Amino acid sequence: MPANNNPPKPISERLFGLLLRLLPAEFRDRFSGEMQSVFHDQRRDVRHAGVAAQLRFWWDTTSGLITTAAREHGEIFLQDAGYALRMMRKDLSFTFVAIVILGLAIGACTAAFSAANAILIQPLPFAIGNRLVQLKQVQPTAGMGNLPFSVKEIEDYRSRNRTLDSLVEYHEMMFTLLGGHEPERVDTAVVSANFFRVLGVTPLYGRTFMDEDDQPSAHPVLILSYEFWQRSFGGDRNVVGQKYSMNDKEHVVVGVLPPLPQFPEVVDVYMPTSACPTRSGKDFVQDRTSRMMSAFATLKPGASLREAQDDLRGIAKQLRTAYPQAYPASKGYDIAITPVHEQLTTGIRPVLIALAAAAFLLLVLACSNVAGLMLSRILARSKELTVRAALGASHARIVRSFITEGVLLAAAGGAIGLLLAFLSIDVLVPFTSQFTTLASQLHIGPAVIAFCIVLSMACGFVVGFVPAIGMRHTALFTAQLDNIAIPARVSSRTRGILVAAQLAVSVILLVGAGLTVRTLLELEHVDGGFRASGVTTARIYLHGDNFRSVYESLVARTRRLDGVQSVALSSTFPLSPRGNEYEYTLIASASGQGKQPQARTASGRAVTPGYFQTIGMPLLAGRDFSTDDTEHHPLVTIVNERLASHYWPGESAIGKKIWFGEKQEATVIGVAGDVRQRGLDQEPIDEAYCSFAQTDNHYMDLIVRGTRSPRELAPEVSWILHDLDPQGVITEVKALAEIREDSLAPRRNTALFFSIFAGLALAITASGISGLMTLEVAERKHEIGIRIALGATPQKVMSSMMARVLAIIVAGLGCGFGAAWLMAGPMAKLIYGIVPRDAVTFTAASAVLALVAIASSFLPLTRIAQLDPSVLLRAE
Amino acid sequence: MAKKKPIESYLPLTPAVFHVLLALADGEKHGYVISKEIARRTNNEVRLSAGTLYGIIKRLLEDGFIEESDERPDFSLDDQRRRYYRLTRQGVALAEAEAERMERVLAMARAKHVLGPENA
Repeated sequence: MPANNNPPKPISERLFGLLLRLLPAEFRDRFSGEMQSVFHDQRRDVRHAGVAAQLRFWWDTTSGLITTAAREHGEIFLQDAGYALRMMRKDLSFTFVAIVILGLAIGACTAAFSAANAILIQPLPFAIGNRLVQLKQVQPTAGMGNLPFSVKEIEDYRSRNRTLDSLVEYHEMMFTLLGGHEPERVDTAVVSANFFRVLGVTPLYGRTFMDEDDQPSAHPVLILSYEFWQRSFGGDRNVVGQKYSMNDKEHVVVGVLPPLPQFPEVVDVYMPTSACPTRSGKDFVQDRTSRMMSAFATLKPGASLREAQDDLRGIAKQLRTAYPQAYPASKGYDIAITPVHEQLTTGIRPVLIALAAAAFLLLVLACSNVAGLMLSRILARSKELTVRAALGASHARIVRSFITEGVLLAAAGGAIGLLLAFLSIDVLVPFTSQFTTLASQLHIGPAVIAFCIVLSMACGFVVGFVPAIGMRHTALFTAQLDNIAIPARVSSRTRGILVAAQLAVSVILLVGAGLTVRTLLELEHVDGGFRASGVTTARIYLHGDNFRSVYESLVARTRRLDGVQSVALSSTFPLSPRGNEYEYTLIASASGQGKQPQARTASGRAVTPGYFQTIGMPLLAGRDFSTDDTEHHPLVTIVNERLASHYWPGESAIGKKIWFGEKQEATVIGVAGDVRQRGLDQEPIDEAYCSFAQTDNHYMDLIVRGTRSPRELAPEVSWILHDLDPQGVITEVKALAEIREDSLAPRRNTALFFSIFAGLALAITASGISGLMTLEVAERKHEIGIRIALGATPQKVMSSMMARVLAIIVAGLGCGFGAAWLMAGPMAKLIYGIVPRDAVTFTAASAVLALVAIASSFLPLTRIAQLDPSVLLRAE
Repeated sequence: MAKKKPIESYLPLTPAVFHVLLALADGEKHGYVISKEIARRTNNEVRLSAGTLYGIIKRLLEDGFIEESDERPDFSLDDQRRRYYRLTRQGVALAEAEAERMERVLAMARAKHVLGPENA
């Protein structure tokens, strides 16, 4: 066996060797040998001194080394920072541009993070946020994905489960609050008494509900939401204890909620179940199929979602067996649970992820750009750096000074970014609130500030380190101190790569912007199935028993107003932000022998004669409702084309029978066109319209077609209404065209954000290319002079340089095109009406970028024509 | 390189720095001997690990209070990794200045009867 002259070092010395790496390279080079020797001797002294002494030795050694390392690094940083600040002051234009570019990108990333953090990352701001789940009853065969709960069902699930801590109910009603300055329609959430206790919400003033408030004999009480309290009571804390009238009963305000995101919907006031006349009705309570409520629960600690699901499905099975009439086998019946956080963030998740990705890409682009600028600047200082190297500055120390400069630039950029992120909150909150009630949680807190600081430091490191990579083969790093021409060539390649990277990122952002803008244009031109222009809508609330005659008179008198062509009433209208449609389980008559009746879910609306004409919907077959279609006549219905084609394909639907639930039979008298009721990007659903006179709707939308604007109509209609019913309420008077526009606001804002990112990317990239070419021309002046002196024309020199730019552009566009192609798939959720890999968008984005790139590189090249070779050569 | 800064601007010294200067007051030593002597003289109250010791040595070298000695012991007794340090004239002055400062502090403590008389 050969003798081993270098026995392996003991673990302790290897460990100490690793610790030594914490020290700056210069310190290490100078003292590490001695330090290892001292360590070796000191360790030998304690080897037999017991565990406590050894531990103390290691503690002293480690803490001493860390302290010294921190102090040494700090000293070097201060020296480098002083030097970097002097350099930055010398070249203010570079400093300004770099800080602004980094500031914009860091600001975009910080803003995107603040939104993602508040909405997607942070748990719900309720005490039991992560354990909060929604219960959903389903009737799979009937197509019901979210069957409301009845009182009996809530009681059963509450008493029989083993996996839930508490179960609360919730439903919304509109009531009129009297006793303030004027009657006010208030969105009211009717909730279990323990609703706020379950959510862990402490009131701002007063108290939340107590179990006694839920007793049938309890005095009606109310809790105000923070927003409603601010809006309608000016934040007056004396409102607690005040009495107001609602549903002909006196209600006492017992509390005001803190400014938390409301859940599951934004409402004005909360009342316990005993105060809701419908919910506390004896028949309603007893009827297992009188379903109206949503149910939420908290999982018991330790209970998993799966266990709770299995537990509740067991109860559903018991109910199916015990009450076959309430849960007919033909419809199926089951229960599902979903985490509330997931539910609240489903809509906004793809938007925020896409925006965060776009902001990150912008940051990559900004870093590439500033790294290119840094590289150019370092080159301009190459003589001075060479002298520093000659005087003994190590490579590591020089790279470190670049990084320090990058960190200082990024720190200033980070400060601007944080300010921008802070300002962006005012834009982001309204934007995200179009998707989720969690938007109110958005703020610049410690987590966002920490993110901004870490991101800025990382950017500083990158913009300082990348130029060092570009120069690793240069004179500074190879000790060829007499040849300072090398850096220019080598760094030119690095700058080319950086510019190509900027182009690639720009392609992705431009494609993203293009896809969202094209989606918006598609949606703006999509046929919703109705004509919005010239239509005004207004919500009317009536309470008295004479509501039918008031509505009739209101329609008749409104029709007589100047500029009004037609008027109708509807329980809701297309794209209504309120929704308020009823879901029926329809069962249609068999269309042929041997066919079974089919059960489907359809959306139902109550309308008056003339509705289809007023809203601008075609009546494709049969007739409109008439004034004869009243409660004294057989029930009739008008179905939409989609429903008719589902039930009676290839046949006329007129005269066919459908059943609403299993009780009411109606004859189809007409077929109306399909309408995108729930959103221009939502496909039409099955719909059945009923005659208002055959339903029992107190709350209707007034639909007016004519030449008058909502502002002109509102006072006149309001006057008519109050003349007919002084307690009638008219709200939300708005043009349908405006409602249609508003429905696209989330899409429009998404497209706007992407366009801003793309515009910034384009500007930064153009400046990057222009800067690259300016430097190329400046650095190669001598070579250009020789070539021109040897007979080459300036045009030839220009075209040879242009060829290099074109190669960079092609490489950048190619990479960007490929990356955008891969990334378009995940963007599908944000796109409508076009395929994610839309050829028009990809081509247009590439073409725009190529044009901008060529144009921004061409201008610096024109300077070649102005160069005088004799001057250049003499100067050399 | 000795600094132009007056000696007083370096005072007060940290105990560790003062002990390093004291350790070198009676002749040149290498790092391990410095740390060993300090531990012995202070009954292990001041323990200088390699990291702390060389942080101090670096600063004292830069400020011109100590210097590296060229004289080395016999080759057979020497570890080539070791370097020997000794006080410069400024280093002696710094140690004196700190000792005098401490003496003044002690005198003040005695005057205020915080500390007993010197020969008590």
